[in-house]
Amino acid sequence: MEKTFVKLISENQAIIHKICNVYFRDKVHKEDYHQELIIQLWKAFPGFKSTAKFSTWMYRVCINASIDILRKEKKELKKVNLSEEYLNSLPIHTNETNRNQEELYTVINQLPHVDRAIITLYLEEYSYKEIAEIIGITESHAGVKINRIKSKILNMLKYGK
Amino acid sequence: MESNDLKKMWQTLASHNMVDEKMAEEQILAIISQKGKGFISKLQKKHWLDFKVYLILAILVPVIMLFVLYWKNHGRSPEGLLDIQGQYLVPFLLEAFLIYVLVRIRMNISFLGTSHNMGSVRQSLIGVRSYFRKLYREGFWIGTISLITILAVYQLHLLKTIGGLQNLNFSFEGSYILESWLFIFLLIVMLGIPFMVKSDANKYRELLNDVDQALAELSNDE
Repeated sequence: MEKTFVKLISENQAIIHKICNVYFRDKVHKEDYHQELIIQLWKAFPGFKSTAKFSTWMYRVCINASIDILRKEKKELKKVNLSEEYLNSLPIHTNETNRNQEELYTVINQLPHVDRAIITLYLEEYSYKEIAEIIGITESHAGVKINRIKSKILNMLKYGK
Repeated sequence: MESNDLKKMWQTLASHNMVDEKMAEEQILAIISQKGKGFISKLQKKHWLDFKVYLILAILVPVIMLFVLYWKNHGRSPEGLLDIQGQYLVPFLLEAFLIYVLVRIRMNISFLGTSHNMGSVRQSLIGVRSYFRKLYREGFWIGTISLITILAVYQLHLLKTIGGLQNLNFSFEGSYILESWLFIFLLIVMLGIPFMVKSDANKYRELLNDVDQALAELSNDE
């Protein structure tokens, strides 16, 4: 079972990186969170049914585990202000395109925990049906939420609020 | 900027971040094989260390108290050992505090060890909510009962020392004045314990409110 798990995680480890960036971006010792997600996945692995898609199962466990970890930390994520001061504080070698892209993670990091999960799944090209299943809401509700979160992000990227 | 741009940005960002961060299979195997790795395990380790320190102190306090009593009553009957008097209030309060802290740390450890990662996000939140409610209730009752019991034991010894309730003396002269006022003071403390424990347990209440709010957001617009 260990070998299968390691192989599957290795193939899908981009998911862990993405979730870590969405939930623990402004944390120091990010590798601790990374390892924690792998441990939580390993603990949950016996419950994985081979009929399901592994990446979907992995997203589900990683999202739940991340929200759980943040709750356990009993801290709110430090809000990063998208002010000029912040943008100027980015590394000098960062060009305009990269800066805008990095900004996307920063904006997502300011959303409520569940909204972060919804938009991540949307950006990962999951269908409304799949998102609804992972989150535990109806398909129409998922659609409504996605539209709201998208406009919120676009506003934040355009106007910084 | 449209939602397609968002998706493009996301994909570019994801591929950038993957370049330096790819983990070898051996590393993954090492993470799942070794105990104590990961964020939660480190937090739990810290709590277990605290638990052991407080446990040693909680054992030491009564042992030292019994030793002092034995030393003071050397040569007297064994019943003399139970003749606990006013000056032992501090160790009694300290023991009550230590037991209370031990209960809280133990609850924190079990809180850290519990996870609800298998179902949907909503199911997970519901699981967490019922766990928090249970923890909140247990914390309140265990904390209240343990603190009140220890103080009650002290109060009984105090009453035994002064010879019963009829000897309580709240005047400015005569004997047992200090003991009588101490008795009243501890009685007030005992009455205040449920409120004190409740306010301490409120840190779980805050987490519970967060979960409630997240669940309410998921229920909106349905």
